[in-house]
Amino acid sequence: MSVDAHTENKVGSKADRKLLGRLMVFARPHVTALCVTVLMLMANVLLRLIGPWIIAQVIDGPVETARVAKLDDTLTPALTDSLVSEVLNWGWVFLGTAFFLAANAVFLEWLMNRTGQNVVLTVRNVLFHHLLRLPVGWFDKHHVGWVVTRSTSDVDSLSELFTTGVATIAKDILSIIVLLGALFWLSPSLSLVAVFVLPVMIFVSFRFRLKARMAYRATRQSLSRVNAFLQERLTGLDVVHLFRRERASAVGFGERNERYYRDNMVTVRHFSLFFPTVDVLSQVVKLGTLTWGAALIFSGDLELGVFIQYWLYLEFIFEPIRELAERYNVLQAGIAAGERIFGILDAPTENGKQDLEQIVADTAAEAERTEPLVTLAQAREKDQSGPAIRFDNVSFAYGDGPDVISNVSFDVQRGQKVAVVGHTGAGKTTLVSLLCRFHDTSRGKVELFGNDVHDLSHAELRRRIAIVQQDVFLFSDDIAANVRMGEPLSDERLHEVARAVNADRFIDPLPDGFATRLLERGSNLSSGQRQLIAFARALAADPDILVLDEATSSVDSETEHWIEEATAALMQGRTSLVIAHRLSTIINADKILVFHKGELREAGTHDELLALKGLYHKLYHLHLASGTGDAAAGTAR
Amino acid sequence: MKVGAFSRSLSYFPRIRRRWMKGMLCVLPSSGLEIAVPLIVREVYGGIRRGDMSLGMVAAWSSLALLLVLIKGAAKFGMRWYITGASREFEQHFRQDLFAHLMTLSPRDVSHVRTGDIMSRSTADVEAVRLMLGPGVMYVSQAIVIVPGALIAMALIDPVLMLAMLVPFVGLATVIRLAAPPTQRWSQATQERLAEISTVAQENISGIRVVKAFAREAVSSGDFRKMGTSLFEANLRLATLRGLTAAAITAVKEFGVLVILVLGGLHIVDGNMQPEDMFFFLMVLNIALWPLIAIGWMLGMYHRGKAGAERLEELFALQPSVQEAAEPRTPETTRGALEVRDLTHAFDGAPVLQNVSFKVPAGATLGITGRTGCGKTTLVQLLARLIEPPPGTVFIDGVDVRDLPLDWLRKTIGVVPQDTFLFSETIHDNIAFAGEHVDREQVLAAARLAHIHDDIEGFPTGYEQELGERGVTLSGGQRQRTAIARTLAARPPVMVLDDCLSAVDSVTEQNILRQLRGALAERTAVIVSHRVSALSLADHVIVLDEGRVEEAGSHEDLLARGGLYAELHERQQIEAELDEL
Repeated sequence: MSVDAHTENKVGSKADRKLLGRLMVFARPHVTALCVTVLMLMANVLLRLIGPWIIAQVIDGPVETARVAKLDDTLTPALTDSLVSEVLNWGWVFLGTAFFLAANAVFLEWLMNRTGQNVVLTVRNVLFHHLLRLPVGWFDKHHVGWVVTRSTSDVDSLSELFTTGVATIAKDILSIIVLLGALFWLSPSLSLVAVFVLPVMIFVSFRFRLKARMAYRATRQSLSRVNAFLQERLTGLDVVHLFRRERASAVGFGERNERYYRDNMVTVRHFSLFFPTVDVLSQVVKLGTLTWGAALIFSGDLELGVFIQYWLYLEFIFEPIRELAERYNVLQAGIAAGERIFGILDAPTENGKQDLEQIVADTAAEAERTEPLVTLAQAREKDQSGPAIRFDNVSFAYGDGPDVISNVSFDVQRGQKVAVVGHTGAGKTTLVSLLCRFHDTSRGKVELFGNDVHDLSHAELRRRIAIVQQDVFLFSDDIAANVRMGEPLSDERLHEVARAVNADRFIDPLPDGFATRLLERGSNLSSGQRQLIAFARALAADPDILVLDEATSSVDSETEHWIEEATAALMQGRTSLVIAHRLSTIINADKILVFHKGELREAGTHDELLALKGLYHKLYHLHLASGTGDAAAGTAR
Repeated sequence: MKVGAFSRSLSYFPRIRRRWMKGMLCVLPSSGLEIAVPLIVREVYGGIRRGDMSLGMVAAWSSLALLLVLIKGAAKFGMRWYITGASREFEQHFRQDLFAHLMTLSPRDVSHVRTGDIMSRSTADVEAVRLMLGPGVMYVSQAIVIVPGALIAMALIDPVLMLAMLVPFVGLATVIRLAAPPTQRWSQATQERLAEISTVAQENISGIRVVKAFAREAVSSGDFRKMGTSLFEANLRLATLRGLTAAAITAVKEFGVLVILVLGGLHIVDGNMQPEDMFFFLMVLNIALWPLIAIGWMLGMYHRGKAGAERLEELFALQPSVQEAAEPRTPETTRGALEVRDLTHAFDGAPVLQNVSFKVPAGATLGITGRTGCGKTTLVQLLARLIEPPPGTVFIDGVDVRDLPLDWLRKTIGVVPQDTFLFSETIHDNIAFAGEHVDREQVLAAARLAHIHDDIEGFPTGYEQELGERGVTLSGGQRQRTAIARTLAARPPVMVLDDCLSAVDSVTEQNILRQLRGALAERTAVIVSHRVSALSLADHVIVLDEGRVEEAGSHEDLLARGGLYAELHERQQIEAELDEL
């Protein structure tokens, strides 16, 4: 609703001027092209005036001479020949003009689109660049579909502003002014007819566009009701069947479908009225011109040829008038899209707020850069004494909500393997988010190799850590790209890494091996295979700290064995923090942290904790009782 | 043009015939009069030129023309209004029938088609067919009237010039014919590349944590930039193509003017033609060319309409897997006795249930439990014939469910499904979903029984509260209890609760079940739950494991036996203790 409200903004308001200023940031590199476009547009408008003028010259020139000569009976063959050649000469002039006109049209279309598409390319790249640098929390608040629409449809609407919107609106206005000027110049008194009727046409077409837009909005709403109903009945098809509501649903659908039909008919009525009305109005202008023109010709104030020239100009003027209102809509849609896009660009990144010029410059610089911003070696240089990871009295809450974890303190020494266990909702995943600074702590601080994570850049921090998530996220690219994650990794190293985590066992038998393309989210792999790829990905990054969120999904026993082996290989020689579900991982850990309801309740080795007969003891027995290797998955569902 | 793909669409013609015919009747005056006005202008201009027409006559002719213009305007309105209206009416009927067809299918019949896909077919494809059959046909019939009309008028005035005019006419048709395929190809290419871009954007945004965790921002931006550049190239090519087409159309038009100018000019000098004739040709050129351009659009509409009709036909071709028997049998009395006899069911070759047998006498309560994936929900779906069971395996009151009338079956067996689906309607309408015969009293009673009445009273508008996007969002437990009320309100003789209290804690579950005891006692009941504690109400319990009946007996017997049932029970008790810590 609020989005539609934007569309209603009057073009030319203060906010729009600000928007235009920001659009200029993108248009500036194309100033020359834009200037050429304007010149070409003017040439186009002027070239179109020549044809009717030539016609007037022929009719008032050779044709009139022939007529007069015929009346006087002085039409000699020699005179005829010279008149014929005069007509032919005018034909050549016309041909030349037509050629320029066509050439101008091709070049203009190409130039306008090239400029527009260039701007769009830049906007899209800048927007995406910026999106990737927004904090994770921003994405929690914005729906994926909404964001994707911004970077596709909205950029497209904005593109129309640059390709056809502004340029054609300029052309239309220019055409109207020039043609009106020409009409006045040809016959000021005759153009009075046009001056009376044309404003009516402009009024009618703007009014029509407004009504059509309102009707269109109503149809869109009723269509979305039709679709929502359809979608719900499809999703709840079993419920519909269970209650035998097939026919009743059809009635419900029928009501919405009927409403959509009625709303559509309103639009149909507007369109059916508009085109004939404009047609009648333009004919009224013409017939008025004919009658008044006859009077002027009788009184000798107008020549016959000039009358036709005038008539043809009149025909030219109707189109831009009819289109003007439509263009205005494109302009408004583009502006509304621009506002939403700039709304995203205004959101502060992980590194704080940046102005538009800076974002554009960064995007351009990134395209040029071949080396990564921070190498692993550079990131390591900052290290100070202290444990690999330290949580110092850390609490975290989303916004004003209740604490998800509260007053958590622990150290992970360099090279130590630490297991985190706890029931569902114990706050384990939050630890990872805070460590990687996806979110910032509400209170307390997190340190990495002696540095407060706030004193490190995101790249410096994240280069040191590799995360294996429980719900492995794979991109629809080939396996190699999913392991490399953009690192310049040699094929040799790629195979080595895969071998180390047992991923080669299923990749090698694939017909395309590492070049196998994965479907969206890797849905053509089993969950065990997806995990092994995530392991290879983490190993390829060669991190100092491994964060592993063990998957709870059940896999067959062979894959289970491979995963266990791979986990050991991955942790070899690294500091690791494992959100553990496997008994073997937990028992082999140097230290176990037991979380419950956002608090760190117990810490120690397996034997120490068992001896405590507390929470860990209970969890351990829960695990044994279930016998599924699923100590912390919570209730089986 | 082949009719094949459109045969279903054309079968709607009788319903919209009257409107459509009215519209077609308007085509003749609206298009025919297009030529009349230029003819009058020619007459008047000739009179002015010769000086043998008085200003009064000019005014009279103009008034006549104005009258014709008004008639033409009215006819044009009628044409658009009736033909577009008829096409909209067609669309409405067609979509309605599509919906009715979809309602006969089960989710499993359409599992290979994404919901989004069905929706886009129901809107975009139906629209494509409509455009082809409505406006498409309208443009063509206009062209059929205008173009020959213009040619005849021109031939009567100057046959040679008319023949010369055929060159631009044919030229324009050729330009449009040639430009259409590559334009379509490149616009498809831009659509595909745009779709790729949106996939990349969507993936990177969904996987933003991975992107950030691996500091992959620059690489993702690089991928995105590459695709953007490729879209840029396709767009530019498309624009160039469009520019060339536009220029070619301009060139053809200008060529027409040139022919009129030179050939007409020469004929005038020769005395074979008059300036007013030249003027007439100039006016008619514009009028006759645009229907040809419209035919170009029509070609595009035809291709899209055909593709759309074919895709829709695919949907109509889907057959419901569960269909009422040709000669259904209704049991003499409805008692509600269930029996499952040696039921085996496989999905995609993998066995889900194997040799399951049990009997539930009318009025008894059966409990079913087992680990996730043991086949509980499949069993429920087979009982209600949401999935087709093999013949001779599932019986209600002694009749195979496959032979029962679907109306009787679904009225008799009331299932509360595991994933409770509520509609975006008021709470009252959701609970009274079974039909208009469910009155307010029954809704209230059902809600009280399901323990949801107090929650509903707490909403701003009570039972009139809308659910879903425009209304409140219920918690998982509230949704489940509303779903139970919905089934209770239907008063089925057999009631099946498929783990429908999983979202409330075990104590609440037991409370609700205890309260339901009265309602369940008067009917046959099947309680499916992963929680052992919920099954203490059952007369008899079966434990499923990997699709087989692992254990069977009363709650107490099974606990005493120390098998899977007892193991699940122990585990759930520890969980309960953990929750309390």
